[in-house]
Amino acid sequence: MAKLKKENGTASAKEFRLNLTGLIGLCLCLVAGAAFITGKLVGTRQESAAGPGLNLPASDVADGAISAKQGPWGELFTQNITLERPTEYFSNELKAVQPSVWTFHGMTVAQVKSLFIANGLTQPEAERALAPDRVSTQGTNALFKPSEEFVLSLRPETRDRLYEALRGLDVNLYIGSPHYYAKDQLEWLKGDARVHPDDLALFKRLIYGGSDVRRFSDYETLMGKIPTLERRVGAAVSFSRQPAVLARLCIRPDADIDKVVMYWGNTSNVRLIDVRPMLEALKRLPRGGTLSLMYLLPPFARERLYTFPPPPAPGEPIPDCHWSTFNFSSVTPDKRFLDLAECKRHIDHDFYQIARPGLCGDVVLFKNNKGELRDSAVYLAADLVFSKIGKNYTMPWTIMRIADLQALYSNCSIVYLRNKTD
Amino acid sequence: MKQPKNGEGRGSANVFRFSLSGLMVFCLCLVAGVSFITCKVAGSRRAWTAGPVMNIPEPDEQDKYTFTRQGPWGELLTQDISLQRPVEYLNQDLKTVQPPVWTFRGMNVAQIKALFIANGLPQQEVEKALAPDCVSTQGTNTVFKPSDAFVLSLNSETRDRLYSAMRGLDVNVYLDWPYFYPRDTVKLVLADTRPHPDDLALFKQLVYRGKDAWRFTDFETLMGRIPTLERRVMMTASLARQPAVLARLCIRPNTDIDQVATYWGHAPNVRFTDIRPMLEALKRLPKGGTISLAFLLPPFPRERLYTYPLPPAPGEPVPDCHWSTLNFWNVKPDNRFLEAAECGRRLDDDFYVIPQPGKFGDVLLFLDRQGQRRHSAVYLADDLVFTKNGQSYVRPWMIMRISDLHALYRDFTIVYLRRKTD
Repeated sequence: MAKLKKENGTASAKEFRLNLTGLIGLCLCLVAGAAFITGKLVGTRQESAAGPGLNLPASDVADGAISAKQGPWGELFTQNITLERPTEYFSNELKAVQPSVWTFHGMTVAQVKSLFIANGLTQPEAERALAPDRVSTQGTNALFKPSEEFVLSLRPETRDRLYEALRGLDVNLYIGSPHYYAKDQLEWLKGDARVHPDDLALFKRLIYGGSDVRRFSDYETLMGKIPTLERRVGAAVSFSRQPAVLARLCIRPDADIDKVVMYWGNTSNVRLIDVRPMLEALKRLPRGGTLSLMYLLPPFARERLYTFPPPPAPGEPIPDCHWSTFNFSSVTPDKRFLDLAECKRHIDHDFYQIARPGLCGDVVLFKNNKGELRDSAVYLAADLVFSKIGKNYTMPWTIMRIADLQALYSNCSIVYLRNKTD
Repeated sequence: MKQPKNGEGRGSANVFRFSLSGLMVFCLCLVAGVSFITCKVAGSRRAWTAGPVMNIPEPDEQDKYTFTRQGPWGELLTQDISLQRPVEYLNQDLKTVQPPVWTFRGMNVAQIKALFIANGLPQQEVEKALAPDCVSTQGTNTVFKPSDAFVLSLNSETRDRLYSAMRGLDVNVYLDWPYFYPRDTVKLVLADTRPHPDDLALFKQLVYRGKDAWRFTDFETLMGRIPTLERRVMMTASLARQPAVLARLCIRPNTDIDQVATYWGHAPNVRFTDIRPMLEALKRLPKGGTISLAFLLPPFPRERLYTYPLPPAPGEPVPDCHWSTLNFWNVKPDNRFLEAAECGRRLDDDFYVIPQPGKFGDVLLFLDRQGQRRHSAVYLADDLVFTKNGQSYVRPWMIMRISDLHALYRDFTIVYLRRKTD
């Protein structure tokens, strides 16, 4: 850089001359310096900004499996996980695999045949499947033991249609409560070294359903065709995955504790005096903190979340979704809710329908096209519910997303209810 | 800025001329533009990055309050918090304030004078303090009502010495169970903006430094000098902080789940089948994850952690530390442990002494100078215990550090016990 000389040779203080190299150098220095200083300032400001940690995701933004959502519940961070059934539950039941049995309550063989034909099977196929050595009668019920050939012969569309029709008729546990898999879960299964390739291939033949969610009901058939216990256990554990959610409440130093406390403390048996000190303790931390949602749930849910019911004694009922839903706020579980009729009475008497859930404790009901209750769950916050899927001790109590539950009960309508005391 | 015309000099096409103002404007524009772009880029990138909220914090993200530590329990992430007593519990207690009363059991005035003199008070002050209008006799006990002037006249060292000598003699509940502030937590009280400045100044005069923590004993004197209920509540809410710990288990993609599950899953009513699926779900996440320690506890502590007992009905006992310790593994609490004699029998019959705790479920027993069992807690992992301090409904069940508990029960001996079945 040079100052321009005046005609008389003395330098002009007010003019600067730069060659190209000098100009580029000057620009680069300015750019680098400005970027460095700005980067530092932005970083420092973010670090000293309220937040339980560094670099929190912005609200309503998902970063991989983690998302944040603001609402009257406060600021909720959720992380998608997948739970597998404990291996201990499989070893025993898979030592000797029972063939599949379909029980058609109050139906004759002829009616079963008509049902099959109405849902995609041809007459010869139905006749062949329901051969006399495959069917029997038990009181008013028709029992059908589908052969492996029959099960394997079903085309995916037929399987989908037929099993959808059978769901809700209490024909078979796995038809009533199939395993279901989001698309990315199936991709994962392909990479699972615990599953023998032959078993995976067979599994792929047996899954059915739409493009977003695939279902699997022929568990007994598949297990029956896997030759060793070890392979059966490996496959069963891998296929048993279900989506769940870990959720934490985020309290920043500028969080409105009153609003958050009022939301979570509104649930029966969740006491404001328990909730507030914890939240205020987090708010006092220099960057705030997070708290597992578990601490904000009533005792029933708190005690059971992410646990499995113990295997029942013979004849002992298994706690199901409705028992779990209507005992959500109970201190001592009410066994009456093991009876579906009692649950219905409770719903009719103590709840009213709402358009959308908005309070922790609202109930999410799934009804089939006959208006029968298929599942229920308790709304927590954002898109999360507390749920116990099915009447099955191998399904834990979990937090799930409503969308995942909807995918499982895609042929059901959702009804939202609120307790009349809320 | 201008380029010189061709022919004006050698290499003139590559020379740029700036006036001073032009150069300044050019530089400012360049710096402003770069800063703006850097701000936008840096801000949006940080907004998308998940922080330690759900992920395990890196070493540089940890500090003395939030850090991880490895051991047979896995990797624990702990965060120090301080819990304040619920305001709802304060209003009632502070409506009327009783002046302090010190009851010296089995001691006469002369013995009390000797005690005071032996612990730092000059004769003259002792005579003035124990004036006849301040002392009375109740059977074999001497009752002393210390005046505000006496209490305020004590300096920090004398206060510490004298009060330490009286601790454990059941002279006054606050002498036996002072408020204590380990490490630098007393600064939180002094920096709290909620109490009136005059009240904080008085508190500052009365708080005293012990060997390992600051203590505050003259609660009744302080409250007696605060003129309004509102101010008393604010002051007490600030004083009544309890150090506690939020703890989470970190599971990384390479964590040894077997080791972790073995540590946490060996105990009664803690089922492997519940723990393992959760840990493995976290291990499958790309960066691993964390889970609240509460999920790994048996039902009793899981249900109670960070909650307060209900205020008791008249005559109803309040669950204390021993009840909590001995019921730690029970699904249904055994109320025989409300009786000290039963607790003693159970500890003698079912436990044996060990040099150090090392297993989830080991017991810490605090013995006073007379060998009386004054407190107990359950060892969790690292330096953490599950504890219920005192027989009071205003103290929650919580996780604390052994060092903080030791500071609270400074004059007691700790004995470590293990169940004979372990």
